[in-house]
Amino acid sequence: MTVLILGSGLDPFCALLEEECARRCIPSVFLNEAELVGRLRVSWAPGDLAFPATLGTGPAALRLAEVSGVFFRFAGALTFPAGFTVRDQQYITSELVALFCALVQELPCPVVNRPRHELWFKGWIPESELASSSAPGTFQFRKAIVTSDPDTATTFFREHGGMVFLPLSAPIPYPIRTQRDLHRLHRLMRTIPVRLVEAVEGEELDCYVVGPRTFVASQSGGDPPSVPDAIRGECVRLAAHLGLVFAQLRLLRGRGGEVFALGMELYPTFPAQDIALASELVGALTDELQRDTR
Amino acid sequence: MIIVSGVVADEVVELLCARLLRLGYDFVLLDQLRFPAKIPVTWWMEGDRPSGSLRIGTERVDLDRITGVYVRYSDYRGRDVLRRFRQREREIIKAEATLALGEMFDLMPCVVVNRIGACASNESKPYQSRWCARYFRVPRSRITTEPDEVLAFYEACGRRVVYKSMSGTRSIVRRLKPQAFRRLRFLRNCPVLFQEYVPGSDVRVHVVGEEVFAARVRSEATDYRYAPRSGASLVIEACSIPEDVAERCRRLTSDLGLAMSGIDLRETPEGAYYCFEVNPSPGFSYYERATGQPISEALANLLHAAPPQLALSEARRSRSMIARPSPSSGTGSA
Repeated sequence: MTVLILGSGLDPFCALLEEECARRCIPSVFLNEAELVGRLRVSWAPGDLAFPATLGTGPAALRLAEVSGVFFRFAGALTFPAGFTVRDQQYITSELVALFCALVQELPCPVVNRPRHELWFKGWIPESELASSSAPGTFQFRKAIVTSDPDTATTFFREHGGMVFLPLSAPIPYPIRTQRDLHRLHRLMRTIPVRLVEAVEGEELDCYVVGPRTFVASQSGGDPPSVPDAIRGECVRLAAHLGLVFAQLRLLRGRGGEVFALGMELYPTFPAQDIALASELVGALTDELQRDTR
Repeated sequence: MIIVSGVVADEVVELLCARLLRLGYDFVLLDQLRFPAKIPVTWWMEGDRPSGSLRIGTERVDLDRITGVYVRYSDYRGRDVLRRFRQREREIIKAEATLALGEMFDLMPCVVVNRIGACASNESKPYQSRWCARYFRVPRSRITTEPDEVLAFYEACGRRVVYKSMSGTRSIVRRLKPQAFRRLRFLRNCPVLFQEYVPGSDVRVHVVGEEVFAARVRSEATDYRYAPRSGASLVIEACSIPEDVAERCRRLTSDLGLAMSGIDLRETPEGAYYCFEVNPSPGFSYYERATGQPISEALANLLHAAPPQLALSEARRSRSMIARPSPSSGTGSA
């Protein structure tokens, strides 16, 4: 039985998982998305479990019937040899995304994470959506608005004595502290609506979820912070609710100890500042990939 | 109040607006070409739903008053405004603008035709085919990079095979013919979806809430959408389908989290129904014009006064997360 790793060669999770499989003597095959174009060999009959489907990039393709677990981190970042037009590249990327999302969906083994169409175009669940789904009494949520109206942005800025601009497509915070920042934001708002969030002081935390287990780390490093069991449990519930085995909740512990949910990463980021945590996560992921689903 | 979000040059949007006017239903057109520069929007979360407003012309539209949203995710947005930006910047701007509306619509408790997440199943035919197979036959398929595999499948299907894209990228469905065999070597660059050719007549079914409209398509073209281009005949006429087939169409639409769909079926001479695809943003005006079926009227009625249970069910199935557990129930489910 073989673990299939489908992702990028630049993703440390993929590399470490491959190492961990080797350490546990679990056969694994790593399909690096940067090496697929021109090398991918696939033969698959959707819906026909009796068909001897194969997948691989070398002469010896992997039989899908032998796959016992899939670590799915495919992001569609393909590398193309010279000669492919932009249109060709876009088409081939769409086709391979369509292929892999369907193929791993059909495999009866553990898939971390199994693609779900409602989430395909999301890398991130924003706090607005978490706010509509969280159990009462668990998370706090920052005041936030989405607006294209400069006057509303100015009012929000004054009410909160500063704020954070959080793009809708990528959760990279841009603090808005000064009038100059505000003027630049107004210029941006001629083209796009913006999400503005009150600035809350506190310690930023990551709560990684791997199946039923949670791993909490402070973004500033140091000892693992303590987080109430109710919060950890809610993180597990939210991930499970989305059908995710592997997720990362971005949290913020305020000065009064209250815990804010800032959002959920659907493709958890590698904790480069904490190698011990990374090892624990990879160990837990490998456990999940070996889970017997029969 | 109804929101129609799209561009007026889209004849589906034009037809729906005309129908809403004729029926006297309150609606606003959120012209995506004018968004966001000329259509200010502000929204925030109030409990588990968005609150706020849009301003369209002189009219302020409060989100609390919205009974239904119809949205076409078009690529026309900000055509003129974006000209001065680089390609990468344009992509970011489009993503931000799409999400500003998509996220708001996703969170609204009214009926939304259709929520952006629910539409995504159409981006992978083999993925969506798993849903179709719950209720209908689906054609035997091969996805492969191997020319020998294609030839074996071709023979196994009695030399009657079509090929098409796997993704939502529009492609013309074509019969595989021996003249194309020499191009099979290009499969190494990109696998292709091959399917057995299913004889019979195409039936396009539009599901609008609980209403079902079926139209039979008579054409000798392999892909009737392109029949005029190939000089093939094309006749589309309203038809009836068995109630159990209609019910399967309703359930398939609901399972995918859609409030409206355009389902491509083929009825074989033996009376079996195959399902090829479920379109989450069907160009229903084409079929309404050909058949006279009141599809736009059904859609207008749905947006004006969707049964509460239908709106709730569509929202639950299509949104990634909507269930908030009650204090007593422990965990919720969608």
